[in-house]
Amino acid sequence: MSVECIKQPEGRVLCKFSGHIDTRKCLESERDVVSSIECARSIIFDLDGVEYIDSSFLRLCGKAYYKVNAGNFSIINVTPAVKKIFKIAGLAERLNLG
Amino acid sequence: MSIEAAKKRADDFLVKAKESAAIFSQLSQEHVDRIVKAVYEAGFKNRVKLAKMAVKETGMGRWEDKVIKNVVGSLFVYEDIKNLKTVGILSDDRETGIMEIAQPIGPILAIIPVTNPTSTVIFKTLIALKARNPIIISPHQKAIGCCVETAKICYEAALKEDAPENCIQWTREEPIDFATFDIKDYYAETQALMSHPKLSLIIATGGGGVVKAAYTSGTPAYGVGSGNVPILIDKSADISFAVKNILISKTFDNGTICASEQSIVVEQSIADAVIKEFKAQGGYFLSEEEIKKVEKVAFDREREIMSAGVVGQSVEKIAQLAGINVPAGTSVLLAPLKGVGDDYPLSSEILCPILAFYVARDFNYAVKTCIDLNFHGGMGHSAGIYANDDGVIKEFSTEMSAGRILVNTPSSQGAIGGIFNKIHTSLTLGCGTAGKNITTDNITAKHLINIQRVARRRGNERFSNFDANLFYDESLSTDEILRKFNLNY
Repeated sequence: MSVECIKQPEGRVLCKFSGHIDTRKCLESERDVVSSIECARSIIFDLDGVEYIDSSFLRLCGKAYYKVNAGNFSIINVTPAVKKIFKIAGLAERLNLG
Repeated sequence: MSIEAAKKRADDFLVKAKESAAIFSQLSQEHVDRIVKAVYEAGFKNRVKLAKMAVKETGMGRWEDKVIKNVVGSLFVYEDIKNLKTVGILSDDRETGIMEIAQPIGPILAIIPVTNPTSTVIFKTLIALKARNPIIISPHQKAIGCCVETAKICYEAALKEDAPENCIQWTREEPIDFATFDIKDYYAETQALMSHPKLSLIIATGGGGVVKAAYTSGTPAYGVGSGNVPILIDKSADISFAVKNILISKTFDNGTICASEQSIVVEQSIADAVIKEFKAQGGYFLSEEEIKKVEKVAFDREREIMSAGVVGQSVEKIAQLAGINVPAGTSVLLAPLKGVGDDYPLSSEILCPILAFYVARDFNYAVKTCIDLNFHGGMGHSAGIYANDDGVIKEFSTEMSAGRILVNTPSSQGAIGGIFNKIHTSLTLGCGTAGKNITTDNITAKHLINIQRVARRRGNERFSNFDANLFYDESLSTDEILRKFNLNY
């Protein structure tokens, strides 16, 4: 797994994730992601190329969601398999899954 | 606790369970199998500690037998399911064009009985995880401590193999203080969990009340039925062997397994020999007067079910409660009865070392007595026969309403599989529609997956070559239509 957070105009932060997001890797990256989105006004998680996520990543999505209020957080470029994970967890609508 | 508070509590459990289910659905068969192996090993390793905890907390059964139950719930269940495919493509038949794909079903609520607490937790956890489903353990209110300890041991082992967070949850952390707690709150909590929209399935093992609550919750459920297991000893039986095996079973954990023998039925011609053998092996035949005393403590006339006070108790304790004297070392109490039904309380299911005993005129009368017993509160559950005549076994089996008919086998251990036969090892025994269940199967991992069928196009040659307009023609007879439909086929 790798993640790159890019600050964009108007307080937007784009976090691009890739690979296999398991608990250990997610926890390792969590601090960087949280500090990158600290002052964000809107956050986008780009999951292009992510084929597996773990519970810790769902929690990270939750943190980002609460940081910027509903409507300013979105997840884009999910694969069908990852989309299904969010649907089963009942989080797809709330987390504005694209 | 208000209904709203119970719903909120259930919601907390189910939100976590649903997220766990989502993560679980990505796991490979190899990963799932590693988790299941680790959980079985942890349950097996702690079998003695958990057995002793269960006896101490519930006051039921014998710790040595509860160890064996934990072995069944861990080792034997594991061996039964370890090679089962529960992830991905199960089969692909090119000829029919049908491919089957396994999908997890989602969060499962496991209702755990007081009679088999720790073994049922291990068993249900193993089969749920094997099918990639998170499980919520809801223990009987009198077995919370031992069930929670078991669940924690299983969860810790699962997490070490990278199982999804919250794949095992339990509804209480500490045993209830009955002095300050209203049991109705516990029922309200269970009810709220059972009827939660995010719950996928309930596996309800326990008494009639909790099973009915599960079935009426609106959530799909596997339940169990009550048993009243008749055992026929045929004249072709090896009598000494039969009595020995009946005692192995009926005394096991002081008779707490619902598949344990409840009545022995013998033909007149072998009655003396059977009685003699029972006596030789520690059976004590009650007099009419003693039967009346035992009935009073063993059967609750108001509720028309066995008294909770005798469940899983030893012969000594039952004799003491009834105020009768029995010889030291007595293995079971046998009550010779003349009939079946409400006038004969000991003809009902009583989960302790008491056996009703019937002598029938001949084989047909013996089978008819077994039918009466079977239909007196035990439909769909289990029945047993000792015989060395296959015709007799078939005749008996055909007449019983039972999901399991155990042949020359202790019925307690026989019905749960794995020890004396090859039926699936399980501590949840389906009793079919007669027992108000959907299946007569022993519930196991294969019941906890949804099977998708991918149906590729495969033509029906007769239909494609047939003029379908003929189906609309009412002037044609069925024979005429079928002749044309099957022409050259």
